[in-house]
Amino acid sequence: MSTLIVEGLSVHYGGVRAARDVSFTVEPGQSLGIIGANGAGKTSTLKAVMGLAPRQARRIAFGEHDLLRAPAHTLVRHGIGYVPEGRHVFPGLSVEKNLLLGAYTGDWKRTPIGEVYDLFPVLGEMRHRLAGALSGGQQQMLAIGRALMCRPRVMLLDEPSMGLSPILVEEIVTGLKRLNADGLSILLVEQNAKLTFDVTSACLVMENGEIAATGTSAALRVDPQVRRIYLGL
Amino acid sequence: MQVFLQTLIGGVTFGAVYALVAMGFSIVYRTMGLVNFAHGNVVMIGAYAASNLYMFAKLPFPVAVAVAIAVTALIGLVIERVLRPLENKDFDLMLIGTIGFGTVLEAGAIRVFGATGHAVPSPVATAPLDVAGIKIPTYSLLVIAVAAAATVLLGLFLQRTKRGAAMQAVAMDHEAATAVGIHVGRSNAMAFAIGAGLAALAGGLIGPMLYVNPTMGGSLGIKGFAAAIFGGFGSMRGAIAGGMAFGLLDSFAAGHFQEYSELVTFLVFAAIVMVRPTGIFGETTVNRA
Amino acid sequence: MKRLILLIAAAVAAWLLPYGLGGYAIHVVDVAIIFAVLGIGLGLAMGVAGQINLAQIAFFGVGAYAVAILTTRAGLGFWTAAALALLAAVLVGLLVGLPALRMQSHYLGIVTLGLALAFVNWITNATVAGRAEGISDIPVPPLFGVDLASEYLFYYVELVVFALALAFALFLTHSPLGRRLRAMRDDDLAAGALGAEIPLLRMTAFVLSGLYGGIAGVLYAGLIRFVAPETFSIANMFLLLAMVIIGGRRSILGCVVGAVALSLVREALLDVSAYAQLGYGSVVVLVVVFAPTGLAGLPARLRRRRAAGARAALGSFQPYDRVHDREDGRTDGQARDRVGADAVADAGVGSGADLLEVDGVTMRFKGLTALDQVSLTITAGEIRGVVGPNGSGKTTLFNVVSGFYTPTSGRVLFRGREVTGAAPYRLSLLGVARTFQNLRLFGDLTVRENILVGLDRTRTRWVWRYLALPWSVLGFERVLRVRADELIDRFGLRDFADAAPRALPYGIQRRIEMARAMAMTPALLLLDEPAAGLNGEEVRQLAAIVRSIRDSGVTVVVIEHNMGLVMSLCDRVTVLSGGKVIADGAPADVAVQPDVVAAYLGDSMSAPSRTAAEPADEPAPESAAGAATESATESATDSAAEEAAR
Repeated sequence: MSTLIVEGLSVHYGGVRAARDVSFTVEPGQSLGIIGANGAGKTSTLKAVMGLAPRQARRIAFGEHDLLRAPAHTLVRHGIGYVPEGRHVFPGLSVEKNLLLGAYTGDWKRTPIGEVYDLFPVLGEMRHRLAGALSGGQQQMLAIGRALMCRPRVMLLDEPSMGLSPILVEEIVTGLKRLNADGLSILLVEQNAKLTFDVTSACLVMENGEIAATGTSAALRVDPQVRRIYLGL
Repeated sequence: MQVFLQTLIGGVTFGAVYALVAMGFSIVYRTMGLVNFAHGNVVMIGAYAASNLYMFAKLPFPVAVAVAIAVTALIGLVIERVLRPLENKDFDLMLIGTIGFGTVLEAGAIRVFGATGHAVPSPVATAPLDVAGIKIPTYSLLVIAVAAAATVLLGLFLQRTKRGAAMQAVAMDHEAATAVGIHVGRSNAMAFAIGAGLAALAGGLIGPMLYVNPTMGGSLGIKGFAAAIFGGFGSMRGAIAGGMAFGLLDSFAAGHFQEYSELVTFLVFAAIVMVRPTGIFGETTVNRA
Repeated sequence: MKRLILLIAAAVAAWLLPYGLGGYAIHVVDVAIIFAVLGIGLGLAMGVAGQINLAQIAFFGVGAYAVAILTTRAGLGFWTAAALALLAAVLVGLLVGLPALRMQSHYLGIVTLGLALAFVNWITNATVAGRAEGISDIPVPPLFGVDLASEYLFYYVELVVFALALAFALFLTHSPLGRRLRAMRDDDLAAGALGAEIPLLRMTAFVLSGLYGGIAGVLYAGLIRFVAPETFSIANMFLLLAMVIIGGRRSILGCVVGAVALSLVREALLDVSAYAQLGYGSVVVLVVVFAPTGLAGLPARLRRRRAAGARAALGSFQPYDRVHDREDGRTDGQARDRVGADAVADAGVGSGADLLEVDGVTMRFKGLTALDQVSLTITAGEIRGVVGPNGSGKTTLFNVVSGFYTPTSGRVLFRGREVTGAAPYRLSLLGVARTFQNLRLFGDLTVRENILVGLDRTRTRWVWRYLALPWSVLGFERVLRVRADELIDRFGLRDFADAAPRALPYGIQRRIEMARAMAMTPALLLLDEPAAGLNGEEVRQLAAIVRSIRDSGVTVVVIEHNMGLVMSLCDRVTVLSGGKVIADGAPADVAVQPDVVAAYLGDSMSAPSRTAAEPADEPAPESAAGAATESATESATDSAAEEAAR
């Protein structure tokens, strides 16, 4: 099993510093959350891990693979699944094609597509629809399903709750918990703190691009500091 | 009525070729957001390559066209490689860069093939079919059939193959495509090669219908491009519909306004695009620039 | 002084040039000057205004053919025909420019190219235009007995015309109009929000390129006295394009240098013209990839490489006068109005009146409802915060208010006037200024010029002055520059007033954008995430600046994620979630409402205890804190939210 290690990660867009000196590790089977208000640098951190944002870091590694030197499109081969913020499904392709593209690097004859339909039955019902015609919640499930198609060992999720109704959020939570229970490591970036506490065992709280607090989800749930950071009180 | 039908057939034949040119434009635009102004000149190179191989190297026509496709696909790869640094940066600069490439191709053709050009004999020597008094040239049928086959093949490639799906995925969202493991640069290069190959097919087919010369690319490219816009830029259906529409517009304008057909065609085109900038199958990609 | 000497030297050299040239050489020079005029026209449209105009060669043709047809077919005198030809070229420019109102970039390129082809098609086939043979017996232009059949003497005519054309183009690019054109090229949305009438400006660009094309055409007709379709072909359009790109399209002088240089090169390689074409095609590709600014941009590129290292510091902000001590400042303001325009907004709105009213606004995009029946009222003199989770419709609201979107339903009233769906420039001139989340500074304009664009409050119809009263334009420009200096000092931007903003650190760029918005002397300032990307110290400075702006009588609405800033800065806060207003009230009240807590944290558990609320300016009122207890159910929270909103 492989551990995701991030040490001293900073992200700069032009002159903008989005994240500074962020470090964390995701042990095999663990689920770690990164929470914080909008603009705290969570998404930038995740994108930088994926190599999709300009980054500097002492170390980013997954198991024995040095991710600092790996081009973005090779990460999936190392077993890293990524669910981007705002879902980013391929709108003009069918649901099934979207899922298959998740297994782009593998053999299309042996994909876990059945397991994905099993996890999110609604995707199976809609398999021939265009992804762009799905509702927000279904697109989110599709994005998660697509990331699962490469049989990842760790999954990076960016704001899966964004724009979803509470019932759908609940469904996503259930799905994520089930995946985690099956041994998948999860790194969850969320603004929705409650969802994150439900899914993860430990969390980082980010503020202004830096880690402001860390702790177990149970402890942070009742920590007034979290609320202060969120609501500015 | 007879004149009308005769014009219709001519229009559809040219429309089929314009559709091929427009598809070439569209596939490159869709995957890379690049408008390749050199595309018309690639068509011209394709026409030269195919006709020379057919007439002077005495290759069978299909083989000549196939070789021409390979040659232009290579040219497409070169163009893509050189202009890659500008991708997703400055749209206008990229556009001017492709115009520069077009100039180079045209000048190269004058150097290699001479400035005068040549006529190409029809590879199908049979007499035109006569259906109820309307003469249908067999070569027209061939052109329409080949264009249709190419369209279907391209459609199958995009719909049924992994590579095709990946190319479409890159066009829709290149970041998500990267995240699922698609090499965006490679996919773009392939789109460019396919676009250039389609150009050569169009060029090879149109050779026997027109006089092959180094400047034919200008007007063919502009018409194909106009057809692509006409149908809705970036959409394959749009390219076909736009190509047909433009072919018909062209041949009816030629029928009614004789030598002023080009004037009328472009005025009508400008007017229609003014009214509906997104084309027939309007995609809202207009503001991509 | 040095410039003057250079100018005189250039003039003398140009005057003496024919003495050293043979008969054929002077012909080449004459043609090169014509291309230079043409190049200036293309540079104005494409380089300065950013309009991809591939019909410049047709404007050239219209000028030349109009002279040819009017003199040989209608028997008009050369100069009468020339005047009419200029008019024709301008009109054609206007017509070809019409598509620019609806499309830009490559769409515009292909349409203008198509129209140029249509023109060539017409002249090759129309009997009146002499078909493929062209028109050959154009009369020699008469000029007080000077024999202009001599290409040496015609050179001087060209020289004078060229000098005037160049001077006017340079004057234009450095005037307020030219600055607006460049601003439009860099970012037409932002330019619109700063009061530039984009449609009219685009037409202006095409009129200018038509005019220069016409002038070149008239000169061509007078010099060669023969016109044929070949001269106006698409190949020559691309040659012209190459001249402008290689020279540097954004610099008028660059265009001239490119045109003259390439004309000479073409002449030298006439015998091997295919190689010449090959050569300049390749050079265009190389220039575009490696030196996008062309020859004209090289000195600046070299300078930048050397100058890197010297780091200037952001100065401190000098607060505005508070509104009640501003009375004596009014005379100064009135003086501006007189010089400036009819449209400078009257800043005096009584505090406490409703300045902006958003009434039941709904905004749908393709089935997605971004705003759902949003209503809010902004009172003059307040600082209003607009907060909410990602995608809750905050920026959409700004886009509706500043005229970028026309709402699907609902109304927007500014000072009691309905402005729903009014164009951004109109709102800007009425007194609505905004900044952008992703900073939309004009990257190729200096900081000073960015601010000058904001200061220019004139309508585009003011442009007649450029031809009729150029000195009044200069006077106006001087006044603007003085005021720009004031603003630069006020916002502490002195050290980089002449730098390009894109090279500056982010915090400074934010400050520049704020200064640019304040340059519009707005009544309402909309700030979209002004603190994004700023560090703690910069956020504190920002708060001071915004307060001072408010104290000067400007009403401020701010979208912000930094809740600490919102809490301390805003008088009232409106919370959006899922496109709906879920709370509205004093910051401390709003932050403890269960709905708001739920929108942010994902649950409706208790708000922070009152001890945690201490750091805020004022402790939360008893009732609001009490209402938000842990046991609050969904329905109870709704009624509590409603109560608090009243």
